[in-house]
Amino acid sequence: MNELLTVLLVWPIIGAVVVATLPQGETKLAKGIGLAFAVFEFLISIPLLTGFEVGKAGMQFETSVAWIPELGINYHVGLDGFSLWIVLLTTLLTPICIWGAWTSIEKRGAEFVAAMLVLETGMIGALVSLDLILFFCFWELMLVPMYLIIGVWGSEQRVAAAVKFFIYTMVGSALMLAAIIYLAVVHYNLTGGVWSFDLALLDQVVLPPEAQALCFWAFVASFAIKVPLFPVHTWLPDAHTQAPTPGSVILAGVLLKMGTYGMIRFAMPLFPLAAGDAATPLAILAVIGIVYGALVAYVQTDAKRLVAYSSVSHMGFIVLGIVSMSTQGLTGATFQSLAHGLTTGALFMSIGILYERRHTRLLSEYGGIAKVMPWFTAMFLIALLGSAGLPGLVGFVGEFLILVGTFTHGGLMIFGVPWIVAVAATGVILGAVYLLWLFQRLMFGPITNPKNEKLRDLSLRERLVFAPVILLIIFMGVYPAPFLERIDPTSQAAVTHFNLKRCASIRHAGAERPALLETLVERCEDPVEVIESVYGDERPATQFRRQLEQRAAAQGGSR
Amino acid sequence: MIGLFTGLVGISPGAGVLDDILHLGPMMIVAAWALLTLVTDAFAGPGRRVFQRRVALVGLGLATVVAAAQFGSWEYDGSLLVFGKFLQVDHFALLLDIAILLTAAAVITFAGDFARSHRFEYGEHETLVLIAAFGMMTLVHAADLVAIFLGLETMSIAVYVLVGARWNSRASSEAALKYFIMGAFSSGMLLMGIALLYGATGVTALSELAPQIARIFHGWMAAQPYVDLVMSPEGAPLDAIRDASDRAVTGIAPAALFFPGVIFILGALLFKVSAVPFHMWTPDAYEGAPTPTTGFMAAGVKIAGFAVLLKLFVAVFNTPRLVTAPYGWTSVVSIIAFATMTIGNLAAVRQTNVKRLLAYSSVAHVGYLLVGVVAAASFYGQGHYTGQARPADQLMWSRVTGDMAVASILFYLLVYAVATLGAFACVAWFGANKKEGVAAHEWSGVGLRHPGMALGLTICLLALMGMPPTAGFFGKLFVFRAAFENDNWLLRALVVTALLNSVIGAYYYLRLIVAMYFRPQPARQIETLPGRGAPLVVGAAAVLSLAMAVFASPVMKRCQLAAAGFAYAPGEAKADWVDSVRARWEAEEAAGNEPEADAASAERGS
Repeated sequence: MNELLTVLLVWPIIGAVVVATLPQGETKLAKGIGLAFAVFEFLISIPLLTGFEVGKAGMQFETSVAWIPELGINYHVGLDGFSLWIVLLTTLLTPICIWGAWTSIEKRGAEFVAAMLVLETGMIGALVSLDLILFFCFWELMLVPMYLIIGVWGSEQRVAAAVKFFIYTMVGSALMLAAIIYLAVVHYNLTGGVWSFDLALLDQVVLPPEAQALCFWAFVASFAIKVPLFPVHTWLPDAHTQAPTPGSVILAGVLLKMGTYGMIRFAMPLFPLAAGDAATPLAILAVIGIVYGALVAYVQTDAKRLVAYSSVSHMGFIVLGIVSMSTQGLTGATFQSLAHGLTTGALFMSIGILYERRHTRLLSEYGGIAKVMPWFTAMFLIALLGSAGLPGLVGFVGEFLILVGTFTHGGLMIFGVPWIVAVAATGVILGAVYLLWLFQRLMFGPITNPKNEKLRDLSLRERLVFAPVILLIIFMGVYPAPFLERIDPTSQAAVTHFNLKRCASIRHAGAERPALLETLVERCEDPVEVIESVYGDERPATQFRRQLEQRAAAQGGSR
Repeated sequence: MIGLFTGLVGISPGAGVLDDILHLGPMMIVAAWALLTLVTDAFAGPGRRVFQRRVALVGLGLATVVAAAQFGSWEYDGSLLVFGKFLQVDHFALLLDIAILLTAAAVITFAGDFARSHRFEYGEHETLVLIAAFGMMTLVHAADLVAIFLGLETMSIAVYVLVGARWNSRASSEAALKYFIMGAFSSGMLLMGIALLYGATGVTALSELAPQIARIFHGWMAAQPYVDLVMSPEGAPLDAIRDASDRAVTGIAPAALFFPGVIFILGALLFKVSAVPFHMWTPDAYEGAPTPTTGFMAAGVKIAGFAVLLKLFVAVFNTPRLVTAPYGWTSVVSIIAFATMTIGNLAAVRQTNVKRLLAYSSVAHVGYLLVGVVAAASFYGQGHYTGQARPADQLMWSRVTGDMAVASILFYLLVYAVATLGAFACVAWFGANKKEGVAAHEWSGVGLRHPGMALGLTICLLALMGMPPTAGFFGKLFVFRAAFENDNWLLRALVVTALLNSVIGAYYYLRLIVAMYFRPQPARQIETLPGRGAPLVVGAAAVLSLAMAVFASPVMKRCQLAAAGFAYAPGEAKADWVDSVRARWEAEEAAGNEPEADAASAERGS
């Protein structure tokens, strides 16, 4: 049972090799075999759900094998509430994408399917890695196939978009790698010569404040680019617009989640003190992203760019939930990751379907589609309302949890919570505005363009491709409990651990040398109280700094 | 030195000469085969390209087998000195022997096809490659400054000829002339440096050099009061001043010879590995040379150059004064490393010629490697007795970390050699009949037309880029980790610069991949080299680039064995150290494959 994750990682690679070694020109066969591999991968991943122990916070399905023992690099994988659903989302979306590309990807279909399968391994690997080097390997492994997918099968400006995507991501990961190495070196020195890149072991290291800040921002640089957070989001509209439909679906559905997942899994727990100090600026950036993304989406004339900017807006909510570091916030962020993956994936698929028929994404070319494509309109409407956060559909649950969690428990992290949440909440309204406007411009009104009069409605294949996503959007909105109850224990444990380590960091903040967490735990019997006493419920972090400096000055004077 | 000549002509009374020759088996085989190929060329006849290649490959294969058999043998744990103290046989030399032999074999595999297709076939090619390989092996085995000079010259002269061998190309002649003039100049610098060092210390054997350095510093410090007296002689009697000036001169003179000597040698070696600002010849020579030779230079010459840099600067010139400011060479080399990687990468961005692009990228890689060299020397520099008491574990720590840093550099060198050979083999393969496809735009659509070769080149480029899951990533990880482990913010900043530099690297490597996969095929297509040689090399390089990542552990273990006790002079102490390292490994293996950290994490998890 514990080898299940390994099987999940190896299976798509086998598929990719099989597909890539087929004779050239066998596109149909390649797609068929690739789809079979992807569907089987999904079936293999179902035992993850059935075997997942509800109510348990720690890692499950854990496996660890020494890989490079000289440096303590292990093949260490496991699954918990944060990663479970996103892994399942990955295994679900990959076959959907391959099947969805049945007619739209014509040239070099075999290579496309192989790239999708390699990408799947990369994504699952990044989600289940519990060793930082292993994580980094998969993190970079995702990059190459996505780069090829955008660059080979994209639209007119694809090469520039692909290179932009690659370089942006590499800059971030270069900084992250430096931080990873630094952390491992500190761990080596603290433990008297144990090399390890294992997350559980490196998590024991409590760095002094300055080093924490440097490392935290190095990690966040990498993750924020992937999310993408407001000032570094500029690669996303290009990448989305130029990518082929399946590329967009996977990019929005899973790849963006890697950024937020990385923040939950690595950046926040490894450097809690710096995370606490950075929470307010990050929350402000997230809120700017929410509002700015929505406003920019509103003025787009290109349907795909519109959805891309809506991603910027929605991902802002997820970041807000994470930096609030509250149980509801984390659960909501994870749930919203799923919701965004499904709804935005469905929106991109819809626009892909229009593009396939008309070869244009300009909104002005459409209008009155509802009359000729009723099936399509229904599917599109459900996805769109889910994305807009209509109660009863998937988007509402996540956004609501995030806002509530941030409002009630975000005070320890974020300064000026009510204001932040209030502005973020306007994002929900703006979301409804631009999405409904999109719907109106596409679907309603008279058919002004004669080319639209003979549009084909969805074929059976397309309806089947849509069906699981649409059903999930409704099901998860009506009955989110089975999803939430698997995420919640992990969130609770993460918050508890975060507060403990943050308290330990506060206790240790005066020291110049790093320390191990276990040596500081006894000084943190009630972590929340300690954090409150230093940060106050609503006090800016600068005050804490001033206190520290005063204390240091007093100590220096008394000596 | 004398041992070599007397030994070879059989005058030496000792029976050790035959043993020495046997210990140097790989080198001797290569030397013998270099002469053999010269003779067989006469009998080769019209099919001589294939025949000569086979003969040379048999020799290289034989030498590789012998080197592989010797590698890891307990006999060489303490660095066996042979031919007096002229050469030494140890794991370090043997590992690099294998790398050099395989490099030469790879080059010979496709160089013949290349020469024939571009109409400059000549019989001596294999001989020259073998002679150059012999020179490189002399360098990695060198235990004496004179051996270093001889090895460098043997290698360089053969390579000059190889660069200029394409007689029907003006660029080739120009490249050879440029490389020769610059190379001769740097050889002169090396010789000057060696002479100064000999003047300062009176020895040329590396093992005897280290104690002499301490003596020089001691003499210098002892002369300081006399210097002060001479500089401000107010009121002192004339005799005392005269005496003081004599003592000051005799005290300072060795140091005054020694430092310029070190600088000359450093300059010469940096020239050979083409570090900025000694890199000017690199793009021209790499571009003009026949592509197989370019690959040979980028892989083989750099391995040999770094071997000497490590042997001399990391293992010998590592006393605290020599590695720390104000007299330390590491601060200079840090700046050079920074300039090398930055200028190399930035210049590569602007190249439209694939060979020049790869040439500048090889310059950039030298920058990364120099970061590792500085790190290794800094570790060893902290492990010296400097007057004040040092805890024994710090000495131990400096040796352990220093060895690890050297092992990381070796790993990086191996990966770099594999990937760069693969890349140049692919460039050589793309073009035939005096028409080379070296302009980047000519690579448009290659991914569709030749998917196998394009995939191979892509993997090699990803390895050079340092992308996981290729071995290039682990090379970078190991070297940069070593640099990070130094508690030195300058070095850490250098690592961050290097990591950001690798993003620039990614940009221009991507340009080739973009051309191959994203651009449509041009109407006029470049022919490709006939023969299976180049595809074989590219395939092997691609497979190795991936395999060395998956099996990074066994490769790293061998590098660690090669680097164990690297700062020790040959002898008992080194053998003891290596034996203790081996004993530790055996204990670890006996304790089960589960590493310590793993068990601990399992404990915490439960």
